[in-house]
Amino acid sequence: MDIFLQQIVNGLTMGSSYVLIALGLTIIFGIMNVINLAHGSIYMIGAYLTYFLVQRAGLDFFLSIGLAMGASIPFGILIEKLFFKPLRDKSELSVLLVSVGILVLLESLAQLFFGSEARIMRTPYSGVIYHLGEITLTLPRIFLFGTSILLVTGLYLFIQKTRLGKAMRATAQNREAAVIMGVKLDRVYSLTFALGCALAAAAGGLIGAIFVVHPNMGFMPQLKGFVVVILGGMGSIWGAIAGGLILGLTESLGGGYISSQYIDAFAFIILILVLLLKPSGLFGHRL
Amino acid sequence: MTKARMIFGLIAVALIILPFGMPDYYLHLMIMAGISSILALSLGLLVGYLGLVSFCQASFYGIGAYTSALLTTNFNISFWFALPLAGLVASFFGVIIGYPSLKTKGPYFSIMTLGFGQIVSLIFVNWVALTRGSQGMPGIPSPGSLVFPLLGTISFKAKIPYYFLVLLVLAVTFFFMRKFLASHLGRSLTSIRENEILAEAVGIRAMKYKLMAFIISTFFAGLAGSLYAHYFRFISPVSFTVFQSFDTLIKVIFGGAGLLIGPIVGSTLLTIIPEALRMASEYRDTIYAVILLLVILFLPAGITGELKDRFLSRRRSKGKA
Repeated sequence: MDIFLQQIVNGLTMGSSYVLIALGLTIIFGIMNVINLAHGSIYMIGAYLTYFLVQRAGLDFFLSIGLAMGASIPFGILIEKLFFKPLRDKSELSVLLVSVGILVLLESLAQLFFGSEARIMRTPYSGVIYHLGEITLTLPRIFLFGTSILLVTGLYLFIQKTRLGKAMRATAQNREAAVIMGVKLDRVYSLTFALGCALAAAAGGLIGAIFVVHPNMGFMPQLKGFVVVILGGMGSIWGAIAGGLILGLTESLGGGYISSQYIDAFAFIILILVLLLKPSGLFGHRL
Repeated sequence: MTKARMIFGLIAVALIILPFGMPDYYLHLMIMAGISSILALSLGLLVGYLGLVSFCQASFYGIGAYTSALLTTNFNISFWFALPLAGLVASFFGVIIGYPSLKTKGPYFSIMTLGFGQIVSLIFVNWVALTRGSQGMPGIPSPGSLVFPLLGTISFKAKIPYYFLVLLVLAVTFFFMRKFLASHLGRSLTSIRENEILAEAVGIRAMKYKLMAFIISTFFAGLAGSLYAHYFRFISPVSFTVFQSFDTLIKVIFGGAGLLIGPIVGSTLLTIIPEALRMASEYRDTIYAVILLLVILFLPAGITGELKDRFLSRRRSKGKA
């Protein structure tokens, strides 16, 4: 029973990082209709930025995450303008391929500049462990969970309450109608992409403090992000939240009770089952 | 058309004469370019003629490599039987992976194959009893010697015979695909790519044809894997990851997916250019990525597609004048 509870706690914390990644992917898909395979690279860059700010500049962990998120906004806008904007009305496949190009480019540059070795991020919180009965909780995991809740709530409020958020929702519902009503498409697209990048960077920094930072660290989480998006329903925010937590729990329970070697395979089994049985996902309304 | 034939003949003669007297290192590059051309051709069939971007072509390449390596080392089966078996086993998994994947469309197909590719990679790493995991499999034998009339006994440990073996398989792959695409089946494939609903409406069973193309594609990927395994005589899971799939995809897109010659041109140039420029290997991926981005943005038909367009438009304007 204690092991079970521990697995649930671990599953929820990992799941919250999947939620952060999947939220970015899902708003980018829902609004821009872009399947962005380079999302994990932004996550990786966020982790490196946080690492250097904490480790080299000696800044506070949360300040560093905030700065990494801030830096990823202009970076995201640049990527959107350079690569995705020219392909806006081209086929989905060229968009997919361009994102593969960005992924390989960013990961190979990270390899060149930062080396391929894994780096350990030491924060003042690294070794802090709490015991709740039989359950063990490390402080970085609590931070991951707490920050995720904050960011998800923030994103939700932004989309629901602000003018720009309204423009984003309008674009997602009907691009042409939104443009007619005066929504500036370029601005909405850049903003959407940048917001997604900021969430990915935050997830990277938070996870980097729990595991290690290395050039390919973003690839697997991003694939899982896609699994979550498809499980929850493409373009659905609630779907991304539910899907992320479901995947986190499946992995930690599956890893604990079925096979720890094949822990990464659970996500893809879910993916294949969802695409075959209910391709619109749990909360999907369109496909 | 005769001009194209002449160019084709010249290239063929060059490919046959060139290896003699060539330094070993260049011969090695030609062999690598040949193997990666077979793999790229197999992917090009899906990308160019079905509009399906598969991200697990390296898995079938790996399945072929492991099949051939295991058959020759554990069961003492001759390479000459293991080679076709590698293709068959790869296309058997092609059915298992292709059937569910092909039920999805466009980007969903790509994500599905990404998932399958990851699962295959995990199996290569974790099924240690079979594959020796990430340590890799050493001691894969070279193909056994063959006795030819006039030429005598030829050992495939040497580079020149291996080069001709690769060239032969590449030629078989190329001409098979050409025949296939020109046949009734191939024409049905094109109609599916252009408009699947319409194709279904005139009685073309899209799933059947797509699966058939997938089986052919994975068969040749498996052959390429076997040739790779017996050339290097060592294989490990890192050669068959999704990044190898990306690599192959870049070669296809760079060369041009719309023509069969495209993937071959793409693979050859991208294998030889980095070496010719004496570029350090760590820059290779960066260069590949930049090439991919530039090609998608500025030359969507790839270099062969672009050349063909230029050539045709020039001829056409001449005709008008």
